[in-house]
Amino acid sequence: METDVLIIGGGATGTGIARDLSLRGIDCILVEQNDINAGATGANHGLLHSGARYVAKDPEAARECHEEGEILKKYAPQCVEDTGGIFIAVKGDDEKYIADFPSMCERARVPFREISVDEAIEKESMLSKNIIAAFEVQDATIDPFRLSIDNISDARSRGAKLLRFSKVTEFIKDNGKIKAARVVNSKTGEVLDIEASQFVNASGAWADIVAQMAGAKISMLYSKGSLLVTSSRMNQRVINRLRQAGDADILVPGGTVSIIGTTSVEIDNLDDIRPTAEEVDQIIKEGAFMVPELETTRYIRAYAGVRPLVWAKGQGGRSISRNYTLLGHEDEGLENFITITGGKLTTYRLMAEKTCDLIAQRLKNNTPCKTHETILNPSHEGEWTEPGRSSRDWLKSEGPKETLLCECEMVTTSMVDNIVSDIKAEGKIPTLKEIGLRSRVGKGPCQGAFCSFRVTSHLYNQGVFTGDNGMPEIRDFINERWKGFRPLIRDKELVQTDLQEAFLCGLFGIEN
Amino acid sequence: MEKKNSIHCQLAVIGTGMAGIAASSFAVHRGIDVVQVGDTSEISFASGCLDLLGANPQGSRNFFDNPWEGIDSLLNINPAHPYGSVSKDSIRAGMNEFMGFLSSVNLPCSNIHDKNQRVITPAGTLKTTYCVPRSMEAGADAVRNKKRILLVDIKGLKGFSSTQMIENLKKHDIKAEGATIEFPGKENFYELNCERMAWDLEMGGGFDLFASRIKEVAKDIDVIGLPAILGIYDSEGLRTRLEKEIGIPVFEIPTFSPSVTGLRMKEKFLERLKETGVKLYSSTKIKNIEKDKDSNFVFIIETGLQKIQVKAENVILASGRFFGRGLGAKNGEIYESLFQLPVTQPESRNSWYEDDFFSKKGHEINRCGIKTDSFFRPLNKDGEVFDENLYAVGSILANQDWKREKSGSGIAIASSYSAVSAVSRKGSIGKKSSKSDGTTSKSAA
Repeated sequence: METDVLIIGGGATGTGIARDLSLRGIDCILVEQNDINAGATGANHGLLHSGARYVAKDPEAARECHEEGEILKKYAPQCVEDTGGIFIAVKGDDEKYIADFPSMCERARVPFREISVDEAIEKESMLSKNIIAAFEVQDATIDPFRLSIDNISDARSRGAKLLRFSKVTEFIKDNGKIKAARVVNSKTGEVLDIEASQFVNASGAWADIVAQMAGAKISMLYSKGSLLVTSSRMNQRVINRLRQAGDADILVPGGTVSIIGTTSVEIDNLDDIRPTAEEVDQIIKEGAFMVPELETTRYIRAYAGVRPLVWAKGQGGRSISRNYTLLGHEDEGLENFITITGGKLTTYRLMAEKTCDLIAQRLKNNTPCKTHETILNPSHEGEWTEPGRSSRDWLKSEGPKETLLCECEMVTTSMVDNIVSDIKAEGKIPTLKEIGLRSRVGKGPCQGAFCSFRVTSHLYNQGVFTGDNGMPEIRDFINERWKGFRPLIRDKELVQTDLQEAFLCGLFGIEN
Repeated sequence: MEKKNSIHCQLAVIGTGMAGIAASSFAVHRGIDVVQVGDTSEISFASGCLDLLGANPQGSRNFFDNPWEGIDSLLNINPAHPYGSVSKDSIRAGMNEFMGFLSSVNLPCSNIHDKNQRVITPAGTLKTTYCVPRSMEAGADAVRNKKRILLVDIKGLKGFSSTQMIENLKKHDIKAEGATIEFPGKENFYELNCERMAWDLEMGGGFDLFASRIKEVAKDIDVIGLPAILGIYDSEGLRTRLEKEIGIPVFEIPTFSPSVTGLRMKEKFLERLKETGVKLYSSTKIKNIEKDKDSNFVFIIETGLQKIQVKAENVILASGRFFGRGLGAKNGEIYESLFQLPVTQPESRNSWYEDDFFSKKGHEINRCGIKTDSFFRPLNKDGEVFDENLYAVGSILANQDWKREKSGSGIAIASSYSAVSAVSRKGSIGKKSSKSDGTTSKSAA
């Protein structure tokens, strides 16, 4: 297999690069070791930063966030909900930081408006009564799944190729130049050598691992961040704590839920990234300073992602720049290898632009970037990831004309059928996990106990599942959800878990 | 204005799940006068089968053909299991008496050769159980004797696919065919539910059409399996009528959430207990319980505008685990809701559950619960009997994992049997109480 550019990593950056290149007429293949958004892109707040969060530490990054946010609101509106945001300080927070905040925003040219405490509480009734200062900013929310899926779909419509579950295991070099990447398909075991002129390492937290295969080295720090999803939407706007970045100081609404996070825990390896019970307790305790109801609300899921932070001596955790790192690796004797890592979801497009500028320059292609002025076409594949979308559609239809397989998130038989045919059209095997990735199945309060079983029955009826593979499908799916539910089980959640186990193990004996 | 009445009883049973119902039925049979209160009941989810012991998750066995040998093997590894406090004779006596109770409400169930039986689930797995309701007997027999089964599913009923069952039964060497029928009067419905269909078959006029639609698809087979929808009040009558119409044995497959098999039990049990003289207050929750100077347990039942004060000489706590709200958790500690009895604790919240939901050995939190003496009297933190007249039975007990062991009904029945026997041996019991404040109690002799 041959191409101009091989992109390694299917997160926001990798899929953004694929689209940018394809708009410049450059041929590319994207390989992803897992599935689209399996890394940090699929495990963050889904926040489109106004930039206000970074005005103290990194005015330049703050400004970039503001500009990129405005571009995405305009050119990828299907992925964005323009909620607006509020920064609030509570009693005991650093008053100097509060006093300096307006001038810091001005310095970074990040728009803001000071509002009274009463106005803040009127806008967001869940806010703590202990607020001492409030500012309005231009935060918004973004659906990272829809974003990456729309980007890769757009790229594919222009000739780009996508290979998922395809892991680079080595680079084949020839006189300091990389000739090909050896790629192994984790599902089939098939080995493939892909030749390219340029190789782009957009593997996020895995950047150093990939770079080492190419003979380069990147000093990275892995910072795990955990987040919790509430069972219902608690706020309309993004709520930020007005202080130096700390644990659990952003509450982001997303469709029918809210997401509170994050933590920052240094970890050594990327093998099994799970939120812990301690992190859950810490997030709830801190979050409750902004929104007291976070103490008592029901949570449906915890998840964790790893921030790919590029390390420089004497820095750690949150003090490392959230700005991106673009490396040409020329000084390491590599002439066709590029690494792009670090950064934020909000600036993914800019990161892709800068990376593609370097690629274009190396390929002597003069076509300029177009992603800042071209509408990102909404893809068919991305539309079911929108929370609340399926219930709206179902309610709009005249009475139930089909069966609801997932009653919590109102996913119907035809939606599942559509997703299955999309997956098949991509030449892949439809699994419950794949369907879960493309829909809200399993994301409601039942944690997938009932809907995974109903979807499985439906897929047997449709001939999609055959033999005895239905049970392993349910086990895999439930365990995937379990990963995010287990650390959340504190009190009320025990009731649901009791019922779930009585059904899956007591009645069905799936554990055997 | 609210009225306040007072009742005195020999025994208060707290909980209306399997254990509470078993306890009340045993007690009333022994001439004990009983007040029973309960809130949510797990029984609405019951499969209708009575499990005794199917597996030992702490050991290596995930299927016991003979539950009695299974109990020996279980107690070898886990001597503190609730079964360790009851002799096999008592377990058997309890099971037999409870089966008699089931027959008395026309939900007969039976056992074959004193061994475990296997019934087909909607997943196409085989559930190990000890007693099978008559409505499932033909299914258990078909599994045992590898008969030709026709599995019938219903258009619009989700979570019940004959194809899924057929494919999964193949690995047990069971050959089944499938057919889909439309439910009479609901041909164009996309959201069928089992409870509604059970009502329709029992009350509505669709039964004959339902029978003829099944008959049409039943060719060259020995036995027919249907989702459990054959009525709630006269399920045996409906099923035998259906068999007569079709001319082939019919069995039911238990569904879930809520299950018709569970609803049947709940409706009939509660009705029967009331008939036999149990003063039953379902859908009530008691918040607090105290002791008076005569050593009675005292608590208040609120029903509508009425407040009833209950004084009970003995209490059987059958309040269940987390689903039944018998146990709860706060700040990583598991507590018992009513008496604040000591609960055995996993080391920390991190060790409650395994990383693998389906972990073979089961989750540590499921083995925590109330420790008792050999008469099922809870122990205080010093290991002494908490109260001479307080008993704890059923799933709230420590050192068992009923969901993995498939021992839920067995533990409920055996512990209730043992606790009620202890209560009935007390001097003042067995004769009608003279202290019962003018209320009468019938004994079901």
